[in-house]
Amino acid sequence: MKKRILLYGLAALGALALIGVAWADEGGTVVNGTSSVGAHLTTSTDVFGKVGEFYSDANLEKFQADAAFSLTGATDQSLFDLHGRYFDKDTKSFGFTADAAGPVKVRFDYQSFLHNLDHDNLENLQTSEATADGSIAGKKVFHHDLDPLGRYSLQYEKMTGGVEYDLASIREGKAYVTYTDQRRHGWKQTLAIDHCAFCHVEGNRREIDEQTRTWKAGIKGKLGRVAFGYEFQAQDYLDHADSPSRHWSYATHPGAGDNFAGAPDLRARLQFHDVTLPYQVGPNTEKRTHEFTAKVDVNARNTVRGAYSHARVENSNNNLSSDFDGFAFGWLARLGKSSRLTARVLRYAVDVDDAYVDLNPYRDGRGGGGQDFDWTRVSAANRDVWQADMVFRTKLAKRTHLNVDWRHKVVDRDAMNQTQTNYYPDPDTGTNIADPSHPIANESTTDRFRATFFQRFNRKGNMRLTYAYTHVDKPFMNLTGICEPSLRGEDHTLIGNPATWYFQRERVGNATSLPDEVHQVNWRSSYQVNPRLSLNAFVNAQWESNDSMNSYSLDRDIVTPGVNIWTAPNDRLMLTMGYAYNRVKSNAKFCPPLFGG
Amino acid sequence: MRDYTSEYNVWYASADLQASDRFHFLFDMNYTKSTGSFESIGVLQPVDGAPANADLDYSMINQYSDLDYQQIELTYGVNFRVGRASRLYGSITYLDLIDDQPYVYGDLDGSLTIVSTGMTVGF
Repeated sequence: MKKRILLYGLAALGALALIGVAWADEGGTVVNGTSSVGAHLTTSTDVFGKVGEFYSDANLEKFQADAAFSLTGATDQSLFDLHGRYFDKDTKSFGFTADAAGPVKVRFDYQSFLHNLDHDNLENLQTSEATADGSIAGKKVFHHDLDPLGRYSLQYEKMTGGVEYDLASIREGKAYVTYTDQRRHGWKQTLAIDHCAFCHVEGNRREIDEQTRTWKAGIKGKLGRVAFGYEFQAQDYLDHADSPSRHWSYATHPGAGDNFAGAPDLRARLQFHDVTLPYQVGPNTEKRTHEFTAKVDVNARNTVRGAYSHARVENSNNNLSSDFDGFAFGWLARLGKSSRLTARVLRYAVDVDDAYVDLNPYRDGRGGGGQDFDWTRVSAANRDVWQADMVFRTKLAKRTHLNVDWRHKVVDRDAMNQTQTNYYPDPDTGTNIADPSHPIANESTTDRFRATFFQRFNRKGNMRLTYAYTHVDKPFMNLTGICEPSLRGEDHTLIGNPATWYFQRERVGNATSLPDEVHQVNWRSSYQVNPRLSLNAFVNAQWESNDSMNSYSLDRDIVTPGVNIWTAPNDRLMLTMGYAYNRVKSNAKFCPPLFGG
Repeated sequence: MRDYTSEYNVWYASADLQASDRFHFLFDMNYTKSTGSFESIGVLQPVDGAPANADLDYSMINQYSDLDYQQIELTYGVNFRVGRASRLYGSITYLDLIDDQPYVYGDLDGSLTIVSTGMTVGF
C-alpha cells in the first residue's frame, strides 16, 4: 500500500512538473476543460449484487460526493491532457498524457471499479434416494454453505505508466519503458466436494489478493530500409492471499457408518481422509519474454516482415516451467495498381515440463492390494505448430474490393490425451500385469477458406460480406473419455484381489466440443439515408458440426442479428434506437451416473 | 442427445433534446431478456437387469437448470445552463432485474435507483 501511494504521488508530481515546465515556457499557453462537482444517492431493494453488478454499495442510502474533471492544454512546445473521475471510494479513475518540450512523452492512467459476485446458496443440491414404496433410503445428495450470509465482491485496480524518448540518432527511433500493475482483491465463494464427490458439496468464502506486475522496455527505429524493434517484458503474477483449508471427512459408509463391513477397505482406497489440507492453492509465476521484429521495404512493390519471440514461464510454487519459441515471416507484394498478395508463415513450439504424480499404494496392506499408480503427467499444452496464410486482395471496381484467403495449420501434440495406469489379470502367468500410463499423440490439420466482399456506396455508406469454411482433421478431443458400458456378468477382479471389481471402468466414448466443420457468414452495412437519418445492420451466423466421434454428433448453431437507427428530426433532437438478438443452440450427450459411489 | 439453447434479446433507445438555450434533456433505455434451457429428455426405455424400482421418467429434469432473466435500465437527465460556462445537472437512473427461474441460484430479483445532481464549470 505504501509503495502504491508513493507511485501515485510520483505520478502526480510528474504531471504537475510537466505542466509547470509547459507554463513556464515563453509564449502563449492555451488550457481548456471542464470540472464537475456533485453528489448522488443510491437506494436498492431485494438482492443488490446481481442488478448492481458493477456498482458499489459502500454508501447505500447515504449521499456520496462525486467529482470529475477534464483538461487539455498546449504551449508552444508541449501538449498535455489530464482527466479524473471520483464516483465513490471503489469507482474512480485518473490519467494524464504529456508531450513535453523535447523528446519525452509521459503517460499515466489509473482506474478502479468494483465487481459484485454471485453467492450460490446450493439449495438445489438436497435430495435422497427413495425405495419402491416411496420411503427414504440411504443415499443422499446434500450441501453445506459455511458462509450463508456472505456477500462477495472483487475490487479491480489497474495502473499504467510509461515514458517514451525520441532517439535523435536513429530515424523514427524511440526507446520506451512502461509499467502496468493490476490488482484484484476481495472475497469470493469457493466450492469443494468431499469423498462422495458431487453428493456432498460445501461452500465457503475465500480471500482474493492477486497482483500482476508487468515491466516492458523496448527500442524501435529505422536503419536504411529496415524498420526494427526489440522488446523485453517481465511479468510476475503473485497470489498474496493464504489458500483456504478445510477438513476432509472421515471416510466411512454414508448410511451405516463403520458398521458397514467394507468401511476399512473404503478408506484404504483413498489418498487422504480425516485431515485438514489447503485447497485452491494459487500459483506464483514469472514470465520473461524477448521479442524481435523487422520489416524491410525491398523495393516499391515488395515488403518482407519477420519476428522472433521467446517466452519462459516459471511456477515458483512447484518449479514447473514452460518455454515458447515462435518465428513469423511475411511477404507483401503489390501486384499492380489494383491487387496485392500477402503470404505469411508462423511456426511456434510450446514445451512444458512433465509433472510426476506420487500416489500412495492402492489398498495398501489389504489382501491383494498395494498396487502402485504413480504416473508422469505429460502436458497436453506441449505442441509444435505450423501455420501458413495466403491473402489475395483486389479492387474489382472504384468502390468494390474482394479478399480471398486460405489458412493451413498443423498442430502436432505428443500428448493430446494420456491413459491411466491400470492392472489386469494374466491367466497364463497367474499374476497381475501393470499397464502404465502413456501419452496419446495427435496431429490436427485445419484448412480455412474465406472470401470477403466490400462495397462502398459513394459517401453514403458501405457493406461488407464474409463467408468462411473451415475443415479440421482430428480436432483436439478427449479420447475414450465418456460413457461406460455395462459390466454385468463380467469378472474384472485381479488375481488374489476379489475386493476390487475394477479400478477404472473402461470408457469407450470420444468427446469434444470442437467442430471439424464450420460454415460462417458475417454481414454488416451502414447507410446514411440523408443528413438526418442513418442505418446500421449486421448479421453473424455460424454452423458447426463434428461427425467424427464414435459417441455422438456435435452440432452448434449461432446466429446474431442486430439493427441500429440514428435520426435527428430537427436541430435540437437526436434519437438512437436499436435491437440485437443472439441464439446459441448446441447439443449434449447425457451419461449421468446416479448415486454411483 | 438433447439440445441446449441460450438466447438474449436487447432493445435500446436514447434521446438527446436541446429544448432551449438553457435546458438540455437526456433519456436512455435498455431492456434485456435472456434465457437458457435444455430440451426434455423424456421417459427412458427400460434396460434389462435394471432395478425394479428404477424411475425412468426424466421428462421434468431439464427444467431444473432453466435460466430466465429480464433487466431494464432507465436514465432520465436534465442540464440547466446558469451562465456562459456553467450548468447545473440532475439525473435519475433506475435498474430492475427480474429472475423468472429462481431454482438454481436462488431468487436474484433486485432493483437499484441512483439520483445524481451537481454543477459543471467550463474554462
